[in-house]
Amino acid sequence: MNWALLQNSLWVGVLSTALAVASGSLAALCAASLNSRWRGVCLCGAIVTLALPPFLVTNCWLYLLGHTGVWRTWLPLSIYSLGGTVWILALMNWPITMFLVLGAWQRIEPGQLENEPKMRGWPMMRWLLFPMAKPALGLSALLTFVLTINNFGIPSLLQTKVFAAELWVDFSTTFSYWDALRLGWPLALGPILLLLWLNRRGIAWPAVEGSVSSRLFKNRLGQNWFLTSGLFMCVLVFFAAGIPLGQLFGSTRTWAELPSAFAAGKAAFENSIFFAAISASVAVVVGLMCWRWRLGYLLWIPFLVPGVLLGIILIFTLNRPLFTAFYQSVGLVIFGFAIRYVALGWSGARHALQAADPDLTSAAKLEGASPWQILWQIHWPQIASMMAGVWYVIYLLCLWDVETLVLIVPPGAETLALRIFNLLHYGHNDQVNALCALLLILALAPLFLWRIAGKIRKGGFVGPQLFKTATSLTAGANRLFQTLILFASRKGQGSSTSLRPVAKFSSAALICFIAGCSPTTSNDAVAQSQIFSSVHLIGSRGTGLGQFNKPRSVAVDAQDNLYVVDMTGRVQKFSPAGTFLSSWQMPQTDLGKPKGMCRDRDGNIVVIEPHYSRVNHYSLGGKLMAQWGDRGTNRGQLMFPRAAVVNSRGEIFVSEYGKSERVQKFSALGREFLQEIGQGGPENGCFNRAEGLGIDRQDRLYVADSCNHRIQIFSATGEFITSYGHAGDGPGELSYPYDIQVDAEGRQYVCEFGNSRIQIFDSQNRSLEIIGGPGSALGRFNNPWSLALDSKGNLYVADSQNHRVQKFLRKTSA
Amino acid sequence: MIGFPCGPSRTLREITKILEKFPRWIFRGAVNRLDRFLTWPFLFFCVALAGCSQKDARVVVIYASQDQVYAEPLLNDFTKKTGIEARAVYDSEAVKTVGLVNRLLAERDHPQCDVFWNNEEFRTHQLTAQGIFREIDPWRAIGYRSRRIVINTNLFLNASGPTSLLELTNVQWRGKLALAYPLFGTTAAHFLALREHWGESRWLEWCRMVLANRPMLVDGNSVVVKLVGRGEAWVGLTDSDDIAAGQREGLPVASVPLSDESLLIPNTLGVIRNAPHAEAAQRFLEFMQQPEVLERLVRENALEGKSPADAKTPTLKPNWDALIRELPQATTKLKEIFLR
Repeated sequence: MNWALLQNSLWVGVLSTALAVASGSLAALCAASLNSRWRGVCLCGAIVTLALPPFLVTNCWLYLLGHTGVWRTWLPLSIYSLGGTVWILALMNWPITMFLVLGAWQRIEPGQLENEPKMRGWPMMRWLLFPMAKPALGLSALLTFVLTINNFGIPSLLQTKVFAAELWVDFSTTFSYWDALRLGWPLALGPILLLLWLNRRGIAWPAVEGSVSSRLFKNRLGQNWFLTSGLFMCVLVFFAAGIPLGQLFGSTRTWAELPSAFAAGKAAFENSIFFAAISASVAVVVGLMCWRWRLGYLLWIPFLVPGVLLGIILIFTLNRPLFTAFYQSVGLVIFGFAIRYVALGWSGARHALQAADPDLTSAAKLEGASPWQILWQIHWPQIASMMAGVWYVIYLLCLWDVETLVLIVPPGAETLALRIFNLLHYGHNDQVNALCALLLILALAPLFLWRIAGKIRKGGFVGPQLFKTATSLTAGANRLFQTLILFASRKGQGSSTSLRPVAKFSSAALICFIAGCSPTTSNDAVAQSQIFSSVHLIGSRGTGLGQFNKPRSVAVDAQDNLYVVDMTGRVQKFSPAGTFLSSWQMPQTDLGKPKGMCRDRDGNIVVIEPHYSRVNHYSLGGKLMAQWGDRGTNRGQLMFPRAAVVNSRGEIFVSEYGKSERVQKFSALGREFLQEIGQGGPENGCFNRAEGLGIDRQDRLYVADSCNHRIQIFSATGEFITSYGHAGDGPGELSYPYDIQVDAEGRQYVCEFGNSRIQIFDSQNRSLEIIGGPGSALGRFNNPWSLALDSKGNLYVADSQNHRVQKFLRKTSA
Repeated sequence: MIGFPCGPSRTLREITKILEKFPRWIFRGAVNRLDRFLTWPFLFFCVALAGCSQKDARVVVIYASQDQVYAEPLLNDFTKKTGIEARAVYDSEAVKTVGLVNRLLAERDHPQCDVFWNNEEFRTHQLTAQGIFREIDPWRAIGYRSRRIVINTNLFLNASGPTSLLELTNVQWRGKLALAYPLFGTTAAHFLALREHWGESRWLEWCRMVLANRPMLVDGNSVVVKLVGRGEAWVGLTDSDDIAAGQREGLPVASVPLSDESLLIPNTLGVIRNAPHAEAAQRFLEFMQQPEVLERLVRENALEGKSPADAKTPTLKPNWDALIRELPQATTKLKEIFLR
């Protein structure tokens, strides 16, 4: 064991990894803040960096900083050093970290940024971005370390002696694979650790929101960090891709050699496309076939072992009379590539399908959909973009692969990469450069084709627009972006590892991209109701004034102004016309956000803080008038209050769930405990998560008994009268009723969280009509949470997952 | 389209039969609701690919480590003249042990190659020792290249370069010398031959003094020429064809004349034991020894001369069998010196 060389290798590996990971993280920070077009440009820069042949990059830097380098006169840095080796290896590998970290940050939900006003700048990076990216950073560090510590060519060219050289020498002397493996255990340690790492199981928590918009990310990151990371990204792409590309394409000899290089390597050009495209397709299909395999992580072994070893195994296994036909065919190449890269297909398919909406799949199965229908109509729309990204990554890897191919390529079936590799040694620089240019074109071709296909489908593609597409080939690059999660989301990210929002978002983006449609911007629509004439939109998603993040409660004051609390912990006030008037922030939101509102006898707005077990009374201007509530489960104490309502005598009812399932009645301002109603259970008069409360003109109490899927009605003195509803989605049936309001005519408006609809019952508890259903169009809902009626009978609905409030205007006749 | 004629349908049937013999449990893990739609199309695809095989009698398969730029046109000529299709797998010194030599070793039980065209002699001797070539007339040497000292002509306008390898230890070349790792390829062969020529102790001393001159050790002979051509190094030790390639590229490099420390490197053509197309291999061997073929290779600077016997200067004449026997010990010494 040559410890000196091993020490050198470790230095090279550790320093290169540290530099690459730091650079990649900053680049990811910049890319996450950019809009899709510019992010695509960044991703293209990163792809080109990964696709550039190492010798091209090294030669370029030798030209600049070698002993006679053109920069040496004013930059006294020698590239022939450990520092130079680290610099070039880091320049070549930073995109790995960028991709993985971007993939990890894709799982951040908007609410995580919107809900915490202080989550900005450095605190955001320290407490959100870093924890989210930690597994991805670990994985990318490990990958980069493995790649750099095994690199022999670049260190030797830059006069850094490394352990890999010792391995090569030993192998070339003895031809013994066993001895090489025995000697190379320190280098094999990395892949083994990686395998163990990949075997760690993460919990895939379902996420219900889409990914964070670049605008929000940039806003929260802050101008300083954005500019710093942006500048860094520009410099990085310039050094890593710009300079080598400039040298490649700036040379007239490259262009002069291009036609002859193409003519000489035409077969290799075709083979490259054929092998890469087919192998990527096979790896993806196999990945889809075996994504349920629990031992699928073993598929990473062929990816991690040296390609030459894989070649030897394939020869040993298949070079037999039984397999002669296959061994002599191009099938062997496809087979070799597929085996080497199937882990990517498996991992991508696994994550994509695990992230697919299970409810949708279950619903399709219940409806009797065939497996083919489930695949084609349920799964594929959700996983298509992810799998396209996986396909592209494998395509790129196959395009450049030499070490798998070098031992198994059938005679006459060389690829461009192999041709370049062979010509490289003999100093045919111009031909090699021309072939590299061809290979880069092949690498970017799928993105162009994707873009052009989209244009053609849109019907707007004409010849000259080809040039325009060059600037926005980023849409294809974004497909790659989805892929990165396949690595990053392997890790046990406790908070959220589901790809569902990503898949949903991507599919939606793709559909919009292809169809060229744009969402409607109208704020009013006709209501499909006998009671309400139209529906008006109030607010939109965001953290600005008049914007919401998951509004959960609404209330109106005597002047019919609207009050809304959402997950930002604010109370916002709107005019009856929906114009934003003012807002105030709840002082404490660390334990949880406020939820539950009503108007008290004095006209103040009651705001409940469940996690603080207290009730607040605010003046209409936001001044705290009273605050009460003792934490506990005894009578008169509050554990987890959820909603409140005030009767004609000014007495206040508060519903609770958790350790105590009940409704309690207090005198005004909670001065005195008056009564306890109910307990936990399914029986009449008992509750299972009592949520919203309503009061009618006779002071009868209506309780939305959400998890019993029913409404219970109690007399003014607290005796159980009746209940109605059971679980289901038909008329008269309920799914998680979260709130109830009763109008002057005794009509009951029930907000069904589960069915995403409003159901109206008459005073005899008969279903009158259903408004809405799941959806994001005006008049439809996504988990409506709370209701409020104003003096004119207009109905406000807190449409929580659509991040808006909808106002239903009552027909004059009604 | 991809350079492969589709094989007869018989091949497809054979492969289908093989696949049908696979026990069902192999696919059981994959047979879930999704898989059923994908398994058979996938298998069909594999079978179709396997059908594109190369079962053809009028074919010769050549593994060539000669520069592809020179070898490819010659193989095309061979096909035109004989009607035998020459299918080649190319290699370069850059992959050295992981390339064709390894492939030949791995395929030795069921060889796919007919002729191994090596651009140096050392590995051929190693493969002969491993029993890769046929027993009778295993291989032939054609033409030669040589190991040379290369200099940058711009830097030596008014001065003379070294004329002997011994001069490379002079302090004036400190930090100005480039050579490939003497543990790989032709550089390794040259160093081993020098060991035999000078004797162990003198050779070791020379190696240590070369190292003391802080040479730039790189992973290929063409890189040596590039470094010298760019002026990164003044002097290098490399192969004659790499120098010719550098001159073709316009680099200001020239080689120092042959001396008794130089090593001639003939190309070798070895016919593989149990070659699938032995007859065609013999035809190729004969074709390659034709004077016009050798002249063409010399004219294109792929070779320096048609036969080692043509070299006017006495050069190293290593005992290859002895070199191979002593390879492990010599390599250990080289590692101790150059890999520290």
